[in-house]
Amino acid sequence: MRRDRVAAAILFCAGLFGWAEAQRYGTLSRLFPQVVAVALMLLSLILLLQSLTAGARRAAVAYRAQRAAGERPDARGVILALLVIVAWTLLLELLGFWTTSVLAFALLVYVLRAPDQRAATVWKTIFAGVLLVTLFVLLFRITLRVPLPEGLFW
Amino acid sequence: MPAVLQAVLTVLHPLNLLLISIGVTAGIGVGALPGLTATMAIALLVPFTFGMNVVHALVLLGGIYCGAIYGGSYAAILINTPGTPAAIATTFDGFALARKGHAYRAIVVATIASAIGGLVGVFFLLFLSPPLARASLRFGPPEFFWLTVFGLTIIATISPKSTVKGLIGGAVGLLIGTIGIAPIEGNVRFAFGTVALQNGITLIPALIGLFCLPEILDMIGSRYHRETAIPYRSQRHMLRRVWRLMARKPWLLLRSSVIGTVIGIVPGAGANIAGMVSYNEAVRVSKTPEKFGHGAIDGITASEAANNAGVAGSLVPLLTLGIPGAPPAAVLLGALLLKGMRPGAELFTVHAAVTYTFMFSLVIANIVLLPLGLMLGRAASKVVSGLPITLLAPLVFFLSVIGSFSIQNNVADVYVMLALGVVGYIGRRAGFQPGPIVLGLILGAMCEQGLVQSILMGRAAGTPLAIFFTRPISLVLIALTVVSAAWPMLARMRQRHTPAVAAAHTHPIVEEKRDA
Repeated sequence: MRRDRVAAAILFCAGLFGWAEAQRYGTLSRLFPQVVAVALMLLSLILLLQSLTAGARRAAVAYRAQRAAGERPDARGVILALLVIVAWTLLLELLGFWTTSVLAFALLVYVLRAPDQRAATVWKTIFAGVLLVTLFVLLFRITLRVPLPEGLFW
Repeated sequence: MPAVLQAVLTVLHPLNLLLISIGVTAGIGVGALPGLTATMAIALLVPFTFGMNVVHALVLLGGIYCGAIYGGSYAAILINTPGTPAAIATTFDGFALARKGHAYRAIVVATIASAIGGLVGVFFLLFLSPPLARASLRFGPPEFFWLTVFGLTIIATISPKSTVKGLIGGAVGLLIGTIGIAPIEGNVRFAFGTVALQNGITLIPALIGLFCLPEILDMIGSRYHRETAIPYRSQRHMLRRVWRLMARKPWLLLRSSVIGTVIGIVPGAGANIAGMVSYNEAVRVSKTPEKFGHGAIDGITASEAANNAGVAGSLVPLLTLGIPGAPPAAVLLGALLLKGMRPGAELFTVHAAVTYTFMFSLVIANIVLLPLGLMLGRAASKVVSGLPITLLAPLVFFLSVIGSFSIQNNVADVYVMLALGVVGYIGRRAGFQPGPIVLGLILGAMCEQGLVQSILMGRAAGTPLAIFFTRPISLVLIALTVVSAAWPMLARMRQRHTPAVAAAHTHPIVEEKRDA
């Protein structure tokens, strides 16, 4: 399958990079990473060879047929959610844990809403989320004494 | 004997029973949250015991330890994220069962297995502590190296669809595990000048990232096809039904509990590895190995019985030698020392009454765990099943962020979680499962240390490689490794000769239906 060939190529490069990078370390420090890197390269080559066999091609055809007949993931939703999640993580220290979490939570609920969902339902979900976030933040800050980042706000 | 009798009476005091119940409940609560480990549960709650007398403090902490290790199964079953690393193997079948609408059934299995595993572990602790502790001290670097190699053979079992992809995942995990300071020479490896990477990749954020984030993104990707992440099917007399199923396989329970106890005793191995090894053995011995990974209750039984048995196992070297068998036991050691109790012979002579009270409190904790676990588990499975994906996905990510951060109060751990989560999601789309990667990550450091230290020992003796193959425990572990590595291949060859099973394995549509 094509994705296996791509994965094998990427992993072979990762192994090669690991092996070359480890060359800079002392004998005992590089022994283990280099052994693992060589194993990774060999396994990647095996995966590549497997993906080129006739059996793999048949499996790819069956897989594509299955995908066409089955559920298709919502790629747009996944990408948008991932962007919100990345922003959530990066802004934690700047804005503060609670503020970022509440904003990102609300945004994520909005992004994930169904096209035909009523506005009241979306607002209810956002409200429930904000409440849960606040409860957990209080639990961690006060009861468990975890110093969550305070940032510009809280 | 009077000390034992006194201990039994003390532990049955209503106040102690209450403290054990509080400890188990608090432990379940903390363990169920992804990122909060049993170690953290005990460490967070130790300050509350400062003002207590030694017996009250120890029974409370023992309850927390048992509850937290068991609580990890909730998140593993309900959101495919091990609440504690000990519950990794529980995700393989627990979440599969939950997706079929049987979340509570999976929790009942986990609860019964945990309680029985815990009780078997305490039996070993009570009656066999001194000889077992002495045996565990015979583990040197070569034995640790072979133990980890044995652990890595589990990859063949947890990647039935593609062993090569499983092995690649394991190698990637081992390579990620080498990030940070080298254990022997002290070189900083693969940090690329980043301070955050110098201490290496912390296990918990990696675990959350690899298991949790791909699941969240999958939930999001499929939200138009299903309203909730997991459906909920109510069944009457669940406890009786599950118990009947589990009682048919007493050997599975006993074997898993013994594996958990023995691995828990080996310092450094702990419940994380115990669950995996036990799962592997359950698959190897099973007459229907093809059911594992698709919601087999035997898989949940094996993992949960072993990890809770490992709790008492980790206390064997702690109480007899002062060597903690696992990180939570190390925190308990601190609590013991704070109370003026020095592990070793003194615990069984001068402080015998207190020590036996602590041991018997673990019996009670495992008994109390059954009703409490069933009650809390029912509520948790109903709540999670009732949440729409639009609320559950952001909530789980929020818990992932807070859990990753709280490990070291460091935002860098959140970045690690996110990065590995994205890698895990892409890997999953390409057919790579997170289990082997995490296994490599867990075993990597111990494997490297065992390898390098053994080579140094061998060099000093003038035979660098002979040391790996000449020690009795090493030879046993090598034999186990060979059997464990060859078994899945032999099993698959045997299945190919059985026409019906072979057809089910090669037909892609059947494979897909089994996944559903």
